[in-house]
Amino acid sequence: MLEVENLSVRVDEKDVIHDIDLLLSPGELVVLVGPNGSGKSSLLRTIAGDPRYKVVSGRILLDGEDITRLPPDERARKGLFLAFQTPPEFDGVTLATVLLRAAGRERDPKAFSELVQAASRVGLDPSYISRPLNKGFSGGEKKRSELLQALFLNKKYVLLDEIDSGVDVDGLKQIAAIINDLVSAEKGVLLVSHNPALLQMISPNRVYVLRDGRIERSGGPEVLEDVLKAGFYD
Amino acid sequence: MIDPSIVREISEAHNEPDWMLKIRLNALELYNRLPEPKWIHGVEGLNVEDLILYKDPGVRPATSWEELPEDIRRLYERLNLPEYEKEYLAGLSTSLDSETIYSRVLEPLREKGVILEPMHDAVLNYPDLVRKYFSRIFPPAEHKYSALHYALWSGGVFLYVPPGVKLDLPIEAFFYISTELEGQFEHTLIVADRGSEVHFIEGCSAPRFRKFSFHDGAVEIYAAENAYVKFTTVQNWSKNIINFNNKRAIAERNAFVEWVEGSIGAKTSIVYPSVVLRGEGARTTMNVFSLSHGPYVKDGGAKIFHVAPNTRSTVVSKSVSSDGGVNIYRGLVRILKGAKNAFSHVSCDSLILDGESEASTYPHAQVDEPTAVFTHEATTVRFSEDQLFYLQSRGLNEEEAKGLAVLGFIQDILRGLPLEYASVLREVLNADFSGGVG
Amino acid sequence: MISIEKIRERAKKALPKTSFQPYGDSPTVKSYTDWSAFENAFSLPASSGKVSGATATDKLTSFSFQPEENRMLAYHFSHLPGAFVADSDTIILESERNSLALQHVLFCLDGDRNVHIEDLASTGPKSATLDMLVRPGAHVNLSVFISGQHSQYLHIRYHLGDSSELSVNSAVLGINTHVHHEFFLNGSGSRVSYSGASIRGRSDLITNAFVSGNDNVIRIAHAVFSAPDDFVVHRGAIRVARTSSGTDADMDSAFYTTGGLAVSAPMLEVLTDNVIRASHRSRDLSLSDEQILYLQTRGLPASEALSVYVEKLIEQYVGNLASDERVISAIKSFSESLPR
Repeated sequence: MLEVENLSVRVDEKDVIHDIDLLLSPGELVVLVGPNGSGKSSLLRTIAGDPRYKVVSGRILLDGEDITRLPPDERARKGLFLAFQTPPEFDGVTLATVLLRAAGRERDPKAFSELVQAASRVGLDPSYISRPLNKGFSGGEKKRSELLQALFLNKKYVLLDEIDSGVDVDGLKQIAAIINDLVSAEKGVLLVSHNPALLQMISPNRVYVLRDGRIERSGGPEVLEDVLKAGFYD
Repeated sequence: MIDPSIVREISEAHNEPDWMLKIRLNALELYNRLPEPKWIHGVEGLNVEDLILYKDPGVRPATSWEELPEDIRRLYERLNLPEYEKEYLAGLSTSLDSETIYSRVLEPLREKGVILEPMHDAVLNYPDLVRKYFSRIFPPAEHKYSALHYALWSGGVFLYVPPGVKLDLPIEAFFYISTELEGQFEHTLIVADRGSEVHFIEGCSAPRFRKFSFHDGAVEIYAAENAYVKFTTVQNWSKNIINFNNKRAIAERNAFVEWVEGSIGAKTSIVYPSVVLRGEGARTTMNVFSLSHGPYVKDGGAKIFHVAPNTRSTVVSKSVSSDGGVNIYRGLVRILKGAKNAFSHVSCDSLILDGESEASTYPHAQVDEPTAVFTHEATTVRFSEDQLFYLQSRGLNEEEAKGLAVLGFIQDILRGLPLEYASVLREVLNADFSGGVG
Repeated sequence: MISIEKIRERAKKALPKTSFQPYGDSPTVKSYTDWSAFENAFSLPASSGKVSGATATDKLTSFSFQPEENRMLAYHFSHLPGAFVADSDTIILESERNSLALQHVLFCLDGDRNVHIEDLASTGPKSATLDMLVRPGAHVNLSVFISGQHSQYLHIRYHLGDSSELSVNSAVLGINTHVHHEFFLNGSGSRVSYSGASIRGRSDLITNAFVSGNDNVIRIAHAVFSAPDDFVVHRGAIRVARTSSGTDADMDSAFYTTGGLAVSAPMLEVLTDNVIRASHRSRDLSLSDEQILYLQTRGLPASEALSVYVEKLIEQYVGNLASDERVISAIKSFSESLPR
């Protein structure tokens, strides 16, 4: 279980998260909604270990272990994956190099073909695996690259920060299918989304509504229905 | 070689204290010693010493309307300026209604403790203040022509803004003390003390006629901690002039220096404003626009030195070359070790309107600070046949179309200019391209 | 046919009037190359050094250099013992102890060729000039490996025939190295793509291109990697002549400094409006905090993320030279200067 306990966070001298409690279990889909600036991305980044976000109080536990002070790569290694909202571009290093190196599977002959399979699952041409990471990728292609990485790295807890922006309807269907597959494979998926189309294609176990860095409301799928009915605030 | 007696004469004529005479004489020695700078084009074969007007060149450049070159007269008529302004611009009167200017502009400034005086007066009235900064920002030894400048300087403006004073209206020095700014070797010194804010505008978009043909001026700017100085130059020298200008600003901690440099006229223009970001958190933005319409050479650029940590610089340079015009951009960004997290971004675009015109870009980045972030991008664009056809199909002729293309291209820079400058600049460009001037 | 003797005479005449460089290199640095070391090397006897993959000759079917251009070339050609014509796919130029090696090699390349050139100054200072004719319709892949423990001058002029294609990969490891790649696209429909890296030490690499023909494409990309006490420079100018049309040119210059001085000066001279593209850029290659965080969230520790990034980055620039052990060891040496 991924537990966020009473977390308060500061970034650039601003308090952005206040006393948040959140739980994510393997095999669960948890959705985070809220207006822009409500702290959704900040929360995900804090969980992943972005050093700019300072935990003022509270803690984060991954399978019982306190990871609040751990660097991002150690949290990743312990079973966390963050799909970035705006993935940065790189010269030189390819998607393949980063993933194989990170997974410690450079010498594993099966690893590359797994990458190719993951590419077709997310709808990316396999040639993208050997291109400099994200460089020149369109918005939609960058999102697919994030999902490919999530699938390949196979971490227990997957945080998806607006995985839907820049993606068309068919793409959204693919994303929804992948999310469902991840959940069936007993991964814990924490999804931040604004997109009613995507939200309508998935069935969350729990929904948190964030506003001004606090949890305004939480509950089951009915919360999502209410939010969708009321329309999105931004 | 120039004789020291000429320098002494100038110094005596202005009753200068010894320390100023000394600066002049040292500079003269440097001038006589220093070699001709090899990086300057357009001045080969120029015998500068023949072009120096020793006798008070700042006085009214023309004595009658008829004396003005025809193209300038025609342009003023087109610009539709009020009569008194036309006369003023033409130099036929030495100032706008000076009573009004004093009561409405200069007196309120004085009450705030602002000093705005001709440079010569400031040397006598505020010697300690002037001495602290004069020639310390742009050194005489920089090259032969800066040395010449310091030996022969005359005219120019001294502006001092006291701590915490924020001036919300720009100082359009041109209209207040313009004769001081008309000199061949004028020297402007601006000191913005801690936390002060000022926008100084030098020059004017309408073309100016001068009797001299070689100009070697200087601008020194000192922005103390937390000060803001915006310096705007829009020059439209007439086509017989070789314009050389030595400009530098020093920015201390958290200071912000903005340069807006627009160059339209002149036969040859050589101007590289430079900024030293000496204090932590100091910033500068430089917007440079240069038009070379006709067989003229514009050699310009920007030099920035990042000395302290967390300093930022942004340069936007746009040049337009047409009818055989040449634009040269020389840039230098030097990020010294220790300037941690320095950030610099330069963007340089050149529009070449025909097959006879040219644009060259020579940027140098010299960095030994590992945490620095630097980017420089440059593109050369042309006015394509498609664009021409499109505008013609809306009823514009070729020249008008080109004028519009130029305006569109320099949009970003126009935004930085005060409204009346921008609108006069637009008119001047339109006129330029429909055969009005040059 | 041009005889070496005639070239020597012409250069000897020009020598007294030349200087290493007529202008300062930049407002703050008089000279990016330490010419005094080359001047000192002039006191050594001239030799041909060691040349393999080329045949000696005293007559050339083609000679495009101008000995009058600067002092280095004037001295080089006035003391040149003899010239060579390349006749294999691997050409290795080496210096010789206690001498100043002076070498000139003519390359006539047609059809499809893969050529590898090594210019090495392991035992003494050297100067080499390469005249490279890429014939019409030829497709040439060239790798140029440059490495020296002594002062080293290398000047290559590439002439592109109509519809020819040239792709160059280069790596420079030197302690006082001046390299000049000059591409001449005077025909039509030719295409040049250059990619290289300078790793550590002290080197001044110039990539110039002169385009005067029609519909020519040139892409230059070079990066310099400078660790503390290094001084590594990349500069060059693409000149698009008035007589040219339909040119597509771009120069991408980049640098990575971990404390040494890195200079990047990609220059552009456009003398006509008839261009499809004429652009250049200069940038630093260091990773931002965001990029490092991204790699960490994939499971890579920060220091490993940096070193794999730098490794792959240099490999991208040097192309097929990435498998050369000397390049691999240079990459390692640069990586050691990365923050841990």
